[in-house]
Parts: sequence; structure tokens; C-alpha cells
Amino acid sequence: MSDDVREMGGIRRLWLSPRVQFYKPEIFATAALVALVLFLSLYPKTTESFINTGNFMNVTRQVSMNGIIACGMTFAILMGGIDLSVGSVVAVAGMIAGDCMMRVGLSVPVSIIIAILGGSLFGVFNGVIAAYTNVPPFIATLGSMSIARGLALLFRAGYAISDLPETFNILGQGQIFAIPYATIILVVMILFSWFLLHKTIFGRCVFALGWSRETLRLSGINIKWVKVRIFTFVGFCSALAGVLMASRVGSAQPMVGAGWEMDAIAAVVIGGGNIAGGRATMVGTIIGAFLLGFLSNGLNLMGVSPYLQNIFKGIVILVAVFLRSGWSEKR
Amino acid sequence: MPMSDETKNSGNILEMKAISKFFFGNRALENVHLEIKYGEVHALIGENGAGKSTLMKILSGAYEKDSGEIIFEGNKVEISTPQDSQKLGVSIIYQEFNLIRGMSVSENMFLGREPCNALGLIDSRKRNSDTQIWLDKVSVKFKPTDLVQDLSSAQAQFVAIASALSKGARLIVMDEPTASLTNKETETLFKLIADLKEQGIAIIFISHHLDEIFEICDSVTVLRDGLYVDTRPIADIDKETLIRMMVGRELSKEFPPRLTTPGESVLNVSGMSRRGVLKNIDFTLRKGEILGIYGLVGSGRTEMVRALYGADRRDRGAGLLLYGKPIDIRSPREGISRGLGFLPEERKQQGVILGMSVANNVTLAAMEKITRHAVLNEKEELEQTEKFVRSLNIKTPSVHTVVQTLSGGNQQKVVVAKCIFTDASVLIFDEPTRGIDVGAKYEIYLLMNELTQLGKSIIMISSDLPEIIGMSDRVLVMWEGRLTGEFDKAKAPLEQESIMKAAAGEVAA
Amino acid sequence: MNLSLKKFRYYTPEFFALIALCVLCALLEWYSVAVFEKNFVSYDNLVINVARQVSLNAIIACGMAFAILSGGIDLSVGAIVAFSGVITASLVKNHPVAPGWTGYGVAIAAGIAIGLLCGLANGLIVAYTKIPPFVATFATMSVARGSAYVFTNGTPISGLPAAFNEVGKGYWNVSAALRVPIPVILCLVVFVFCWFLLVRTRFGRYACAIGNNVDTVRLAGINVRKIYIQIYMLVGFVSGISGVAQCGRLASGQPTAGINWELDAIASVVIGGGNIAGGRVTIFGTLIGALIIGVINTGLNMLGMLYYNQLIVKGFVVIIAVLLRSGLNRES
Repeated sequence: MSDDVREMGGIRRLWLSPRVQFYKPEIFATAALVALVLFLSLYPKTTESFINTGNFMNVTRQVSMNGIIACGMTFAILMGGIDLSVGSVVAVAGMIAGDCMMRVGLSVPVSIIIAILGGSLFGVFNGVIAAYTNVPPFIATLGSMSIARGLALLFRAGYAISDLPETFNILGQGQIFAIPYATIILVVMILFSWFLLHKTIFGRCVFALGWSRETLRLSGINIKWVKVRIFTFVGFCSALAGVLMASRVGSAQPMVGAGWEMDAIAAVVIGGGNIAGGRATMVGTIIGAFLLGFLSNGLNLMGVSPYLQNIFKGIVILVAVFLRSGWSEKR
Repeated sequence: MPMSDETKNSGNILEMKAISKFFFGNRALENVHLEIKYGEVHALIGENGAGKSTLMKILSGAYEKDSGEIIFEGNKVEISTPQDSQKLGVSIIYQEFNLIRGMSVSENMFLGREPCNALGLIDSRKRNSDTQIWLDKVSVKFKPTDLVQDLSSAQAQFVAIASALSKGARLIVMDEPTASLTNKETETLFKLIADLKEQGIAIIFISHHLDEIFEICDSVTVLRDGLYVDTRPIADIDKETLIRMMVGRELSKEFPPRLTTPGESVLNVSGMSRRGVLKNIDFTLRKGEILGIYGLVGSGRTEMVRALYGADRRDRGAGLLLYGKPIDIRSPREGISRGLGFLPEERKQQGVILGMSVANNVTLAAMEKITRHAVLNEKEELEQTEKFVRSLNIKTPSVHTVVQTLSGGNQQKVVVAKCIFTDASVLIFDEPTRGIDVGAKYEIYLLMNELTQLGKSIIMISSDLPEIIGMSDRVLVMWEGRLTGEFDKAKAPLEQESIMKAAAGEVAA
Repeated sequence: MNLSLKKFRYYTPEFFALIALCVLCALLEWYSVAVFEKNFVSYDNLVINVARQVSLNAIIACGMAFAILSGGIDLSVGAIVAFSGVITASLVKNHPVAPGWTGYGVAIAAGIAIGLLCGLANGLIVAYTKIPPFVATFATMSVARGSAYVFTNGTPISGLPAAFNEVGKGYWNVSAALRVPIPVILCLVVFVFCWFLLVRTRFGRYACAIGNNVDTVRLAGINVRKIYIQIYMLVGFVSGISGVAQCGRLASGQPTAGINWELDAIASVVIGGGNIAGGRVTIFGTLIGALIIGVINTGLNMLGMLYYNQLIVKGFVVIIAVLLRSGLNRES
């Protein structure tokens, strides 16, 4: 009898083991996405409000910010790290842009560039700590999450910067041929990330870093420099999302982005990214981001409290990471 | 075979019968037998990868056997967790002793069964006094409150033994107990083993040192490539037979003949040290030469080549000459740019990226060679890799195949290709054939011969003595971070005896 | 205390933390006397002000010490504070069982039980799956915080009876001249309890051993999963206590209570000499760490710095504290 029990344990472990290809996360996520969209368009309570251009546009706009951050997060998770500071960097970038335009009086493009550079600096900071010290990335970014949030609040003593110029707001609110600019930026970022990951030495190193640091080091690659660039890229993505967010709302708010790291991490792991590093794809990440976007859209349409969605997200992350990593062998 | 009727009831404390264990379809053990009598010291020997440690892990409950049965003191038992084996009275002393360095001797000894007072709180006074009793039994001088990290490795070993005794162990397994001991410490250990034997405690003694086995063991079981070879009383056997049983093949057929004669000096190392690890290493590597480096575990061989390659730090003042020109290597990056290639000991953790394709792995160390304007040229990468797949005979469905799915030998060839792709002229191979099956080993040897014919020089570390003798033009022997011997095949044939002596610290004449 | 003092060697990180605390106090004393012409080092300031401020965080930090000791971490503590706080508040306010202290007792027990339950969930995930502790507790943080919001519908449960609020606000009047804040007493009790667990029980030994080398512990025949579950339940337990006290202190159940508290707790452990990679932690050091954070906060307040400056300082303090313990990466 004990043998049977062990056998079942064996089968269960096999099914959840990453070695065995039963579980293809991207396919799983795509199927879930299709099922969700079908459900929302057929379910009588939501079908009317779901199938209309306004709603779709709304979802894509929403997904754009998270998708852009998730592009960066994919890199961090691929190398076996994580960045918890993205949400705070979103706020800082928005505040920098707002401050440059409204107080310093710089032109819109210059302000945007400065905001993105400022946000990227946080990435550099995270990267330098992750590369040149033994502080684990999640602690380093937990610390800079607090620092960045404090800085964002510092700009206007906790108040928002509103009435941003119309030319700036177009970025987040405008569209061309019914496609929001934000979505176009998302597509560009996906392509750029894909290019970095698959067509450059840097991308190869990111993959390899998640599998074996020592192999990479013995192959003569400066892994510290790779790490700095990864976190800088995450900072860049977050800052870009921050600028978009400020222009979408028309004001720069210091508390915006709280908890967004959850969404970005969720997008990556739902798309099949392994939190331990070495596995994640851009396609998976984007599907993950859309899945999350439609999920919260659907929950909104059904009138589920936004608070409940927090609970949902936590559980979704747990399940997604679990499907990837499986049971512990620590008996 | 040893399963005759008379041995069945003749006072065996342990019988392991027809044990098999496979990992993902690879044989670790197949149909292996082991019988231990009460109060005997039983040697378990075999080369690396012969299955000794797998067998012991099955006995300890760390692994579960696929088939076979275990009989302990006449009863059939199932051992599926470490607790099970502990309850039976089996104790295993691992090479790294499994002690927690930051805790005291007594905390370690009573880990998992701390004496508690009526309130359920740890009674540390009782724990210390109990520990003292057991420490006295193995007659050592340190105190129960000393931290394990402050003890020498010999002392830590005695802690582990005392701990096993205190758990009521009837059968103690010692895995390479003398690997890190000095001669004097070894003597003390042997005295203790003799005492334990008096008390009727059986000991399984795993060692690479055949002399030790002849000194203290009563009988010996030999394993090879996961298979059972034989069990003999030690009195009935001599060293040569034992070696033949372990190696199981004639040495001459196993290695292809060396065809090149070493030329001018390529690399000259002088005064290379690293505090506490390496002492004053001097040697020369010649063109087209295979320089074997032999030494026991902990002798500093891997540390030496890693320091040379730039992977680990080394002390100032070392002189490196490459083709007569002084060079400095401070990182693997610089090592590669000077023309060094390194095949590390831990293939899966340090040699390849398991999740990447053959092509990506081959080009990993020199990706700039396939980069045009910062963009990777995948077509060129594939062409280059195809060339290596053909010339090194890497058996892979395609260059896109993920390396994880290849066999050990083919993975190793991928690492070799990676080194060659960087245009290295000096190749450092650390245990190139560990964990690789016999056929693939031969191919790696052929490959090494070919590389030297092309004018490359190879430094080869191996703990397989026949391999060192069979493949090297010259052998350096290390002991405790020092070079203790140099043997040149051109001057005199290489002999196991003298190399072993040097590896044990006796400086060769 | 005697035992820990005997083990207390002069070069330990706790000793440095203690020195740092003294230096900080001396500096602030000097500044305070020079600028405000009043003492910084006084019973009123140090106990009534600083210790009362940090006590709830220190309670959590004592539990966090065990999580960090075992090589893990618990990011959900702040959310547990909120969740158990709102549950307690609602039970106090609506007293379904009985009015008065019987009802309060049930409410407090329920709050602590919620903490234990969250801890159990964390523990089960860490023990039975390969999900790394920081991801597991990060997710449960979202779940617990979300539950607090859902339970209160986003609005605080206020108007709690003053008698109950004593739990967080009250004082124990030892004599006319000497009064001790209740949270400080709670903190001391938890401190002694956790110190006892760590130094004198098997559980403490095992938590330490797991952080050093899980395999050794497994091979010693110890049920590692049980220990993990107990560790995270302990963290949940102390977070629950802290949540109940915070509820009394705020005189309401706030779903936003305890945001970023995990940061303070981690910082306390690490400043007090705990190794973030596991295997070494002291409860005494953790308490010192919590006090240092409290003194820094009070000092920043004194210098006129606002909440957000404190966030910035806190971030740096965490990073620098971990950096001092774990050092630079020296790979070539």
C-alpha cells in the first residue's frame, strides 16, 4: 500500500516537474486568455459592456503600462533576480516629468527624457547594489522602493502635480487609427526587448545568468556589468510607464504605482517565467499581462470590488509560481 | 556469488541484496550486493562514479532504492527516510561531516534529540555533560561548548563519530574519513576504529587509499560502474588484484597512444601562491604536451588551475610567462584573451548552460566573434557550430538541441568546443572524463591527442590514476597546496606507487 | 539574561549595534540640549516616546528574526497587522459574544488567531512547495491586505470603546512617578518569549540549524516541514498581537495599517546583526535594531523631517545594514 502512495506522489511530482513537458506555460496561458475573452463576450451580464471599442481600448491602455514594466521585469526574473521598486519608480518618473514641465518650465520632450533618465538612475542604483555587493536583489529593491516612494512624495510635499500641458497628455490619452499611443509604445518595447533578448550578446548573458552564474563567469563574461544593465533596463521601462501614466491621468501623483510590482511579476510568471531564473519569454509575459488586464476588466464589469482583486492577484501569483516550481522535496 | 546458504545466517548485521537504482534512466546501481558481519571493518571501494555513495545513500534513507532488499540483523527492513536508518542503528559520517559550523559540539551531537527538562526547554547543562561522556569515550580533548568552526577537520570527524555512538549506532559508515587528516590524526582514528570493532560495532570504510584498507579492514567489496564485482576477505587478496578489480580493464587498451612529442615551452608559472591554499607553485608547460596533475581531494589542484585561469584570486608576486612574455591574468576574461581555455570540474554547474542550445553554448565564451554591429549573426553561429559538431563528433539531433538533453560525454564535448572556439592555445581540463561512460571517455582522449597534434597544450587534472598515467607526457603531483613530485614519461615510465607516495605528501627524490 | 550575556562577546554585531545606539543617543542628546534646551536621554523621551513608538514593530521583528534565521523572510507581516486589526475592531465594536472585557477578549483572540492562520498559510506554502519564501509571502501579503480591504469595504472601523483602546494606548501606572506604556510591556513579554524560544527550546535550535544547513537537519531525522510551519506561524502570531495593539492605538481598525512594516522588521533584524542569508540572528540584537530605528525616526522628527524623508532614510538604512553584514561581491 505504501508503494502505491509513493507511486502517486511520483506521478504528481512528475506532472509538475519542469523537466517534463506536459505543462507548457505559454500555451496554458494563451488558452486561459482565449477562454476568458470568450467567456466575457458571451456571458450575458458582461457581453454588452465588454464588446465595444471603448472597453477594449481601455483594457489595452491599462495593459500597456503593466506590459511595459513587465518587459523589464522579464529580464530581472530571467537572471534569477527580481525588482520590487518598479511601482515607486513609476511615481518618481511621473513626478520628475511634472516638476520639469510645471516648475522648471522645460519643454515636453526634454521633460520626458529627463524623467526617463531619472527613473533609469534608480535602475542603475539597484543594479550596482545587486552586482557589486552580496545584498540580495529583493532586499536592494525593497530598500529602493522605499527610497523612490519617499522621493516622489518629496517633490510637492505629498501633493500631486496637476494640470499638465495638453501636448504631454496626448501621449497617454491620444490615439492614431483607433490605436492608443500607449499601445504603440508597448509594441515597440516588446519588439525592442525581444531584440535585446535574442539578438544581442547582452540577451544571451541574461538567459545564461539565470541558469549558471559560474559558467558565465568562467566563459569570460563580466557578469557585474550584465546585472547593472538588466536593472537599468527595468528602471528605464518603469520610468517610461510612469511618464505614460502621468500623461494618461493628466497629473503626476506621488502615490501612483503602489503594488504595480505585483502585476508585473504576475504577468511574467503567468506567462511561464520561472521565478528562480533561466526561463521566461516575451510572448508569455505579454499574454500574462493581457490575461491580468482582461481579468480585472471582467471583474470590474461584473461589479466585483477592486479590493477583492488584490486577493485574486495574490492567489494567481501563488498558483502560477507553484505550477512552475512544484512540490518541495524537503521531507 | 556470495548468496550461498551458509552466509545467509552467519551473523551478518547487514545484507543488501540485488539493489538497483536508476536516475532518469541512467544506471547508478544495478543488482549490487553488500554483506557486513558483526564487528568487522569492511572496505567498500571503487572508482569515482562506481556507485559507492549511491549505495550508502540508499542505506541512509537519503535515496530510495528502485528494487532489491535490505536485511538488518536478520529482519527485512524498509529504509525510506533518514529517521528509519537512524532508528535501526546505522550512522553515516559524510566527508563534510554534516555538522553545523556555527553551533557548538554538544548542540551538534544532540541535534534532533535535545535533552529537555519538565517544561520542554532544552537542558543545556545535561546536554553538555552527556556530550562529555561520549567525547571521553573517543578520548578527545576539546569541550562540548566549543564551536565546530573552531575545530580541525580531524576533531570534527571525532565529533561525528561520537555523535554516531551516542545515537546507539551499531553500524558506522565512514566516507573517505582520512581524506583531510594528517598521518598522526589518521593513526588516532585507526586506533578508535579498532576500539569500536572490539565493542562489536561494524564499520563500512570507504577509501581511495588502498594501503589503509590493507591496514585496518577485514574484508572488501568492490563496485565498478554501478555493478557488483566481488567481495573478498582482505587476507586473500593483494593490491594488484584489487586495482584490477576496481579498474576492470587493461590499461593499455584504454588509452590511445600519445603521438606528439612536447616542444618549446609555452607557459611558465613561477612562485604562484594563494594564502592558505597554494604554496609557491612553479612549473612549465610545453607545446603539444599533456601535463597531468594528480592529487587527492583537498590537495589544491583545482584551486591551482582556477587561480591560473583568473577564476580565483591569487597572491601578488606570481610570475606568468606566455611564450616568454610576462603576462597578468586577473579574471577569466583576461585568461581567455591570453589564450587560456578552461573546462571546469562541475560540468553542469560551471561548464555548460543546461537550458541553452548546443550552438549558444559553443559560442558563449566568444560571442563577439559572431557579432556584426552589436547584432548576433545566427547564421554564422550555426555554421561555426556545425563545424564543431562534425569535427568533435558531438552526437546531437541538431545544433538547436538544448544541452540538458545530451549525454554527459557529449555535453563535455560541447565544453571542449567552447574552449576551442575562443582560439585557446593552452587548454586546462579539470576532470574531463568524470561521470562519462567508457566509450565517450575514449573519444575525449582521442580528442586530446588531436588537439596536441594541432600544437595546443593541455593541463589535465584527474583523480583517476590510470588516466593520468595513460594520457600524460609529464605528471605533477600536488599535496596540501604544494607540488610534491614531477614525473616525466620521457625519462622514466610513470609508476602508480611513486605517484601515490608523492600525493600522500612524501616528496619525491 | 544571564545566559545571553555570557555568550555576548565584545566583537559581535550586536555589540556594534549597541554602540551605534549609544552614539546615536549621545549625538541627539547633544543636538537636543543645544537647540531645544531639553534632554533627549530621559525616561519620558526614551520609554514613553521612542520605546512606545517602536514596540509594535519590535514585536514583529522578534518573529521576523526566526524567519530570517531559517533562511527565509516574511513580507506579509504588515498586511497581517491590518487584517487582524480590522477583525478585532469589528468584533470589539459589534461584540457578538458579550459586551465588556469578555467580548474584548474574544476579539483579541480572534485577531491573534487570524495572524496565526495567515502564518499557517505561509508556512504550508514554504514547507510543501518550492515557491521561495519571499514570493510566497509577497503573494499572501496581497491576499491579506485585500482581505482587510474587503472586510471593511475600504473604510476604517472607528469609534471603538476607550476601554479597549488601552491595549494600544494605555499605561501601567507602577507608581505615581513611573508609568509604563502597555505596548512596551507587550513588547517585553514577546521579547522574553522569543528569546526563550530561540535559546532554550528545540524549536529555536532547529530554526537556526535549518538556516545553516537544511540537509544536515533532515539527515538528523528532524521534520523540517513542521519547523517551517511553526516558524511562519510564530511570525503570524506576533504580527497578530501587533495588529491588535495597533488597532487599540489607532482606536480603529484600519485596512491601511502596517504598510511597509515588513521593511522596519527586516531592518531591525539585520541592524541587530542578523544574517539575511540565514543561520545567525539574535533576539537581543533585534531589539537593539528596533530601538535604533526608533531613535533614528525620533531624531528625524526632531530635525523637522517628514514622513517621506523617513521613507528615504529607511530605504538606505535597510540596504546599508544588509550591505555591512553581507559585504561586497569580490568575484573577478
